[in-house]
Amino acid sequence: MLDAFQKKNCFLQKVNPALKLGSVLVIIAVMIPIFDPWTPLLLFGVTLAMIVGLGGVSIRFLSLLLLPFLLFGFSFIWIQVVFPDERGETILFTIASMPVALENVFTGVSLGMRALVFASWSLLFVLTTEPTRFMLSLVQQCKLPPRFGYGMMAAYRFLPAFQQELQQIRTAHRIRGLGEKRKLKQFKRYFIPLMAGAIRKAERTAIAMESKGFDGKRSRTFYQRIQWNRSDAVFAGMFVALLVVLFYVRMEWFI
Amino acid sequence: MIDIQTTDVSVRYPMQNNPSLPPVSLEINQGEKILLLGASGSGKSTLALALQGLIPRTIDAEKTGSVAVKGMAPESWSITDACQHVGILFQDPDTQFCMVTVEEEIIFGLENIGISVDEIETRLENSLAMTGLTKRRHDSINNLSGGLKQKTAIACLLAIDPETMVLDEPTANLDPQSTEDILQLWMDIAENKNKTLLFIEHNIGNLLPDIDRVIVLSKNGGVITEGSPREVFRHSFSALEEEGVWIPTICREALKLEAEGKMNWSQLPLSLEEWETECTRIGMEKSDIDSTTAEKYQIRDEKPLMEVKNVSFSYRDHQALTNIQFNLYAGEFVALAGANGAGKSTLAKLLAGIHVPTTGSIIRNGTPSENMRTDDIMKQTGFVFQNPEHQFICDTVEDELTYGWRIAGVAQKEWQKDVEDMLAMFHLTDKRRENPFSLSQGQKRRLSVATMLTSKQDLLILDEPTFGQDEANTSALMNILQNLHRNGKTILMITHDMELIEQYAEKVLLVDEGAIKYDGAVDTFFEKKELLHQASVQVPVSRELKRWRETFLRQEILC
Repeated sequence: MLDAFQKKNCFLQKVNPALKLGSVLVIIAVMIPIFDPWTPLLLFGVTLAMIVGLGGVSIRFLSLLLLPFLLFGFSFIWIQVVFPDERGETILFTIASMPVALENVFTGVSLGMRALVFASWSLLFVLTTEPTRFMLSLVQQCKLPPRFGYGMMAAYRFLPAFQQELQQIRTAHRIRGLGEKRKLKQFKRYFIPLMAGAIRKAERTAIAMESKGFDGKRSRTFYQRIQWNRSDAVFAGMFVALLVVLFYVRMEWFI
Repeated sequence: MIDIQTTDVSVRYPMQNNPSLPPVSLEINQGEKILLLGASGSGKSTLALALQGLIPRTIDAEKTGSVAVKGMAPESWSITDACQHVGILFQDPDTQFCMVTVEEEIIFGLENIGISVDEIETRLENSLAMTGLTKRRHDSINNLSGGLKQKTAIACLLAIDPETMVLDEPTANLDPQSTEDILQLWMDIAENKNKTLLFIEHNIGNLLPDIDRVIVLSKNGGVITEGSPREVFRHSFSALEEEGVWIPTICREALKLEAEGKMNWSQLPLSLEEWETECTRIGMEKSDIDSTTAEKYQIRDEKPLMEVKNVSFSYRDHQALTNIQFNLYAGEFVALAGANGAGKSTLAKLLAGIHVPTTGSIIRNGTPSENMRTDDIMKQTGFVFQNPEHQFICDTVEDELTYGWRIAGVAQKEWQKDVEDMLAMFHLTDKRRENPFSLSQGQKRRLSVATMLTSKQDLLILDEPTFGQDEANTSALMNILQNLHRNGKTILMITHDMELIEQYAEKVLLVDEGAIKYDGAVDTFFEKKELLHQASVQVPVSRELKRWRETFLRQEILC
């Protein structure tokens, strides 16, 4: 599912991964000093529209992914209402003799929305970037040494294998009559075979990579060049425009 | 021209007392196709790593003696040069790759050696075409079957185009048809490109006549014997047998007939084809009457141990099994066969209660599984996983064996004697105080089977128990299983090895494309040529030979 979206021929998929990563970092930095709830709400809406409209991700899939983040965001509101630093004066209503103040709800919403903005931008990156292109762009544009770049790729391939292996160990232990208890001792029993397997696999892969002539140096050809193209210019332009509009709207209406 | 020359080369890994590769001297010429044999512990794989220079360049091990490839020392090469001199194809297809798709993986190797983009393009297309992977180039490697993964690894090697290629058991876990396809592919490549090929493999099948020279390594160092396959298997038969080295079934049978004075081979047959040509030449024909049908498989009329009724199973994205229906009876030895990815493991997991059928029902001892708790089902069935390490939960071999009794609360004096018997039976007595993880591959495998026997399961399921095991370990394990079977245990074994089915199983279940295509006796199974072909299964050589033996016996009677 994930890789189907990552490979889609849409606008966001064509943008240089390094640029996308950079914009995620800028968004996080820009959001830090903003405390009103409206700016992040607006930005969140725009981001979702971008993921769906420019990235071709289905709304259903996106909402499913956002669900846990929504719960996480809501927990901020809850915390602000129940354990406020200082209870606000505009009481909206009371839940079981606990007053709920507008000011506290506002702070909660702004914190929660901020978390959602970070989540949505991370999703924008993850859903529209092929891992291989990301790694190549890190190596080619950000001067990451190939040793780490290709090492990361090898590790990425291990993730599903790791999950499968854990599943197998759990069933194997269940068959031996250990049941499904989750205790610390149980953890040790999973951990040793899992680590033994992981170390062996990593070693074999490293040897296989070297036997194919991989020396981790920069003196290699790149068959696929991640180049700057028009999509990057358009994306950069849009991104700056987004920030300017956001800043302007905030100045005009929210402050 | 001499390609590879080693002089008393020996390798010892740190923390080990004995060398992993005892000193060995050998010479290999340019363009030769070599079959390297030796019992486990003779250091075949280690030798491969030393020839490439990976030992001592990357792997921390102490090397003595000297290796010369094309007159140069491999350790003096840079990493990028080394891969163009000697390429290795490794045994485990899952740990050879670092990229996502087939194409990316091939390109990865080509980028490493720093050739131009145009050159990469040409070599990529060529190697994809040679391995028949052109249509699969954008597929994710993770989703490929074992055979296609191995083909991808071959494509990578062909693209880099090293002068010498070492193939370290490249077909160990493949079904018979894929094995033959891949070996044939190598023979064609060797023919067209005049490469030096070094096979570290025993299951070379019908391609033995194409091998130029066999070299047999000894566990104690040095070469036991070398020469053309015919010479080696004829003149050093007893030496090889003593060392525990694999001998092709066909040679074994041919020499046996000769020793009994029934046949005098002008040249020792290396394949069934050669055997038949030679026999036809002296005017013998294969017997049609099959004496083996005499010991016919009997359908039992008792109540089945397990009834599988109309079972289907789907994973999240695809249907794995459709309308499976069969019965298992107490005391049977059943082999579960089929091509890679046909659904054998899934079926085994359904029987063990690890998976629950999507539709249909499995009735165990008269009770439908729906009415049973998963943990109770699992207690009825022993399941031996492909990787034995997954099943170890204790710190010593003895604890591991007694674990089942201990959690069941059985008093020590009741099982004390059983443990001793068990340790003896599985040849683990002197290892009883050791950690299960420190055992050798064969010992780990035996222990994982043993742990499944201490509780009173009705059925023992084994998922490719002989994978990665050498000749000696395989026969040790199979003898144990046969003993258990004689004592009344019901055994179901997944395997690709048709020789094992022929020798040990009573009944075969053939799974193909998610359905049971055959359920019945072994003898009739191997008669169904078309069915076998469809399911990528081949008749074992020993079966064909049995018939020839008949001919020889009858002829004797006539004389």
